[in-house]
Amino acid sequence: MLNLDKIIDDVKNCKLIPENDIQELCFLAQELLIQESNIQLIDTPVTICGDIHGQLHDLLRLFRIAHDPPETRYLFLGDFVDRGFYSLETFLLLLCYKIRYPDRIFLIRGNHESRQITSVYGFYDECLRKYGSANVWRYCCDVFDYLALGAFIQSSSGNDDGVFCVHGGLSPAIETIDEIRLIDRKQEVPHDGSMCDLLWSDPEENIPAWAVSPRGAGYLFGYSETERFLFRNKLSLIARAHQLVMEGYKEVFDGGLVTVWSAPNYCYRCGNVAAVLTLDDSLNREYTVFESMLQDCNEIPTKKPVADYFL
Amino acid sequence: MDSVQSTAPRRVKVYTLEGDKWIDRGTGYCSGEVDNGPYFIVRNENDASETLLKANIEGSTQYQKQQDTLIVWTDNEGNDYALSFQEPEGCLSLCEFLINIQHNVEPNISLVAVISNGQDGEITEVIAGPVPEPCFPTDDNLVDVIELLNQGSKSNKFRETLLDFIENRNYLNKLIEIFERSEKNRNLMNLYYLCDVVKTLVFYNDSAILETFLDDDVIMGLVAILEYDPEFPNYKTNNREYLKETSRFKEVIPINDNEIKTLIKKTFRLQFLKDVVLARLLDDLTFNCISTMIHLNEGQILKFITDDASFLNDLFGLYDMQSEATIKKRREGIQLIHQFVLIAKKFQQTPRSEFYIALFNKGLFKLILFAFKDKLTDSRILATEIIVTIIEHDVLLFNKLETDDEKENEVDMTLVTILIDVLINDSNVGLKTQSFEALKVLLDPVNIESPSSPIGSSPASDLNHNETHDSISIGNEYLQSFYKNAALKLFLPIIKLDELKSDSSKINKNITITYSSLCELLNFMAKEHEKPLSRSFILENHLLVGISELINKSFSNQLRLSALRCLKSIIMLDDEFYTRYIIQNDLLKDFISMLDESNDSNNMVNSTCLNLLNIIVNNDTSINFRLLKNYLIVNYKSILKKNFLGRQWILSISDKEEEEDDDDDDWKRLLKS
Repeated sequence: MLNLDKIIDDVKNCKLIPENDIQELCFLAQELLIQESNIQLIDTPVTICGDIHGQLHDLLRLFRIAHDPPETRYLFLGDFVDRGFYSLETFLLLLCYKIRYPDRIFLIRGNHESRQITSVYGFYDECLRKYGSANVWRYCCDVFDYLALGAFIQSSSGNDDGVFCVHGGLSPAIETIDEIRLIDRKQEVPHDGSMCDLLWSDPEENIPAWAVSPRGAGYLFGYSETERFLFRNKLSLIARAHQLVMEGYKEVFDGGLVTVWSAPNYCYRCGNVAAVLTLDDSLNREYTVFESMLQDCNEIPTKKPVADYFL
Repeated sequence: MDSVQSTAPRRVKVYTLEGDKWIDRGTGYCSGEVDNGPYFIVRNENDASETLLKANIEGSTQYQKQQDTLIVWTDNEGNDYALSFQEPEGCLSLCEFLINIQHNVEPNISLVAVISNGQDGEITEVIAGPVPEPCFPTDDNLVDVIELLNQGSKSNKFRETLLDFIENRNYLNKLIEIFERSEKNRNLMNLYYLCDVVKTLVFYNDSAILETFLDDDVIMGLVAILEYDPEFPNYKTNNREYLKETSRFKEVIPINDNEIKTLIKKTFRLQFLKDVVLARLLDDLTFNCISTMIHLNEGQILKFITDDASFLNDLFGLYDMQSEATIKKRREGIQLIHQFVLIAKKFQQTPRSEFYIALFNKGLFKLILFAFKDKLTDSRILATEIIVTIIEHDVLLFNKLETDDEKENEVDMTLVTILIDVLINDSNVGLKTQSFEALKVLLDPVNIESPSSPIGSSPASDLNHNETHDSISIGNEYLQSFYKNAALKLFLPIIKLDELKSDSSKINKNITITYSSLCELLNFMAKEHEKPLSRSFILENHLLVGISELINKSFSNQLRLSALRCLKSIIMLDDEFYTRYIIQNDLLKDFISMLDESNDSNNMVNSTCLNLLNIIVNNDTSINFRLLKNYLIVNYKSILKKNFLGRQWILSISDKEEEEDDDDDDWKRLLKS
C-alpha cells in the first residue's frame, strides 16, 4: 500500500519517489478522475490558482499563504508542468493531495498537460534525467488524459450567476457549457476542435469576436463573444490562466473575465508576482498576490544532475 | 576604413559658442564623411558650394547627444560647436556615424547621451567610447574587474584581449587562486565578487570563452566559485562534490583515442554547467549557445562510435556466450547504448541512420536478447526503450535483421513475439506500456511500407538501398506473417476471456492495462491495416464479442471505456461487415447498460457513452448507421428514453413520423425490413 503522507513529505523535500509508487499513484488518480465530469462542479468557497509550471517551491509557498488542503478548497487551472525544474514533484504533490482529499482539490487540464508539449518544454527531459528512462513521464501523461477540461463554480445559494473555469478560453464550436459534456476527453490534446480551444484560446481586447491565434492553436476571442457566452450560460465570470500577467491577475471585459497566474518570477527570471483568486459563498472575488521568496525553500532551485554518464 | 559609409545630408543649424552665447552660423545640410580622416561637413542650404562647417573627428573628443536633436562638442583647440537637427532621425543617423567611427577608425573619441532626469539633474550615458583593457584580478580589485568586464562586453577588441588573457595568460587560474585564498580566509565579499566575475563571463555568451572553462585545471575551481552566489546568500551548492565523484564516469569499454575521451569529459561538464550550475541563470541566448556546443560535441562522439573499428565490436562482445564479462558490466553496456540511442535521436537522418545501422551490424541484438532475459527490470525497460526509439526511426532495420539467417519467404517474428510476451505476461506496468508502444510502431503500415524509407533516401548508406523498391511487398509479407504467426498469441487473452470471467479474483490492475492495450491495438489494426487482412482475423476469431464483454460491469471503468472506444472506432469505420456483425451479435448491449447505469452521473463514463450515442444519432448519411439506429430503437427504445440525448432522438423520429403521417406499426415494419 502507498504511504501517502510519506510520499507527500518526500515530494516536498524533492526526494526521488520510487518509480513503482508513481505508477500506483497515477493509476489511483485515473480511477478517481474517471468519476469527474468534463466540466467539474465545485462548491464555494474555493481558491483558484493559475499556471504553476514546475515551480515547486513557489507552489509550497502558495499553500503556506492560502493554507494547505484540506483547510482550503483548491481549483488548479492546469499547466502544472514544464519550464520549472520540478515539474514531476509539482504534479506528484498535486496528485497526492487529490488522492488524499478528492473533494478539496480539483485539477483541470492545461495545454502543457500533453505528450507533445511536454516533450519539448522540459517535463520529458526532467523525467529522463531523474529516472534514466521515460516511463515515469508515460504514467503522468496517461493521467493527463483523464483530467477534467474545466470547472463550474456555483454560489452556495445557487441564486447567483456561476463562474466558468478553464485553462485557455472559449471555442467557436461551443455555445453552452452543456455541450462540453458530449466530449470523450480521454485523448491527447487534439490540434483543433473544441477540446483544443478550451485549453489554448486567449482573450483579446482589441477584437470584437473571433480571430486566429498567434499560438497556432485555439482562437483569440473578444468582448462580444465573452458577453454572449456569459449571458447564455448564466455566468458572472470566466476564470482562466494560460497567459503570464506581471501583476499576478488581470480582469478584462468589464470584469467578465480574469486571467490568474500563479508562478511568481516565472522561469526564475521574469520578475512577475503571482496571484490566486478566492471566491466566497456569494462568489465575491478576493485576490491574494505573492512573490517568489527563496527564504522559504531549503535549497536553491536547480535541475537535478544526470544520474550517470557513460563513456 | 572602408567599412564606414558616408551619411546622407541632414538639415541642421550650426552654432558656435562665443563667450557664453551660442551664435547661429547658418542653416545647411550636414553629413558625416571619410576621406583622409572622418569629419562632419555642413553645406549651406542655399548654396551647396559654401561650407558652413568642416570639423575633423579625431583625438579624444567627447560628443554629447542632448535631447533628441542636438550634438554638442569641444574640438582640440577648445572651440565649442553645436549641431541642431531639424529631425530626430537626422541626429540619430549622425550619432550612428560617430559610433561607427569610434568602433572602426578613431577608437578614442566618445559619444555620450545627456539625459535630463526630470528635475534639474542630468545623467550621462556612454553610447560609444574608448574601451579599456581587461585587467588581471587581485585580492583587492574585483569590483573594478567586474566593472571593466561589463563595460567591455560589447567591444570585440575587448573580447579578443580577454580571450587572450584567458587562453595564454592564466586569467582563470588567477581567479581561482584568489578564490582559494578567500575561501580559506572566509572573505565572503570576495567570494561573492568572484561568483559575479564568472557569471559575467558566462553571459559573454561566447563559445570560445565557455570552451576555456572546461579544461581539467580550471573546471573544478570555476564550479567552486559558482557555489557562492550573492543572490542566495544563505545557501551554498555542492558543485565540487558532485563533479569530484569519479564514479559517475562509467567506462564500459576503454577508449584509446584521447581526444575523444577529453571531448566526452568536456561534454559532460558542459551538460553539468547547463543543467545544474547555471540552470537558473541562463537566458535563452546563452542556453542555446551551450546547447549548440553540446550538440556539436555529441555529433563527433557519435561519429567516433559509428566509425571506430573496435568499439562497438568490443561492446557487443560482452554479450557473447564465451565472454567473461560480469553481469554488472553487461548492464552498464545497456545503459551506455541507451544513452547514445537517445542522443542519436536528436540528430538528422544521415548520422542517426549511420549510427543505428552500425549498432545492428555489430550485434545490437545480442544485447537485446541478454536484456530481456535479465532478471533486473531496468535492463528490460532500457532495452525496450532502445527498440522503440530505433523503430520509431525505421522499422525496416529490424526487419532486415530479422530476415537475416532465417528461413526464406518467412519473416521472422522474434522481436514481435518478445514484445507480445512482455505485454501480456510481464508484471511491470512500465514495460507493458513500452511494449505496447513498440508493437504499435512495428505494426504501423506507414512505417513498414513507406517507399521513402529514411535510410533508403540517404545516399550515404547502401545497406537498405535496394530494399526500398520492394518495401511495399516487404510490408505486406511482414503483416501477413504477423497475422499468421503472432496475432493469435497477441489476442489470446481476449479469445480466452471466459477463463478470466469465471474467476473474477484475477481481475486486477495488470489485467486492466493489458486488455486496454489490446483494445487499442485491435482498433489500430482495424483502422490501419488492409481490411481483408485485419477484418477477417478480427471476425473469424470473434474478437469483437470479447471486446464488447469487456464493457461489462465486472471490469474496471478504465478498461470498460477502452473497450467502448474500440467499438466506437470500429463503428466509425462505417464498414458493412463489422456493422452486421455488431447487430447480429447484439454487441451494443453492454454499452446500453453502461449508458443507463451512468445516466444520473455526469462523469467520464457517461460522457464517453453520450459521445458514442451522439455519433450514431447524428450520422444520417450511411446505410450502416441507419441499420445501427434501427437496431438500437428496436431493442433499446425504453432504455434510451431514459437518457436526455436518447429522448431527444426518439422525439425527433416521432415528429418525422407524424409529418409523414405513418402509423406506428408501419414504422416498426419499416425498421425491421
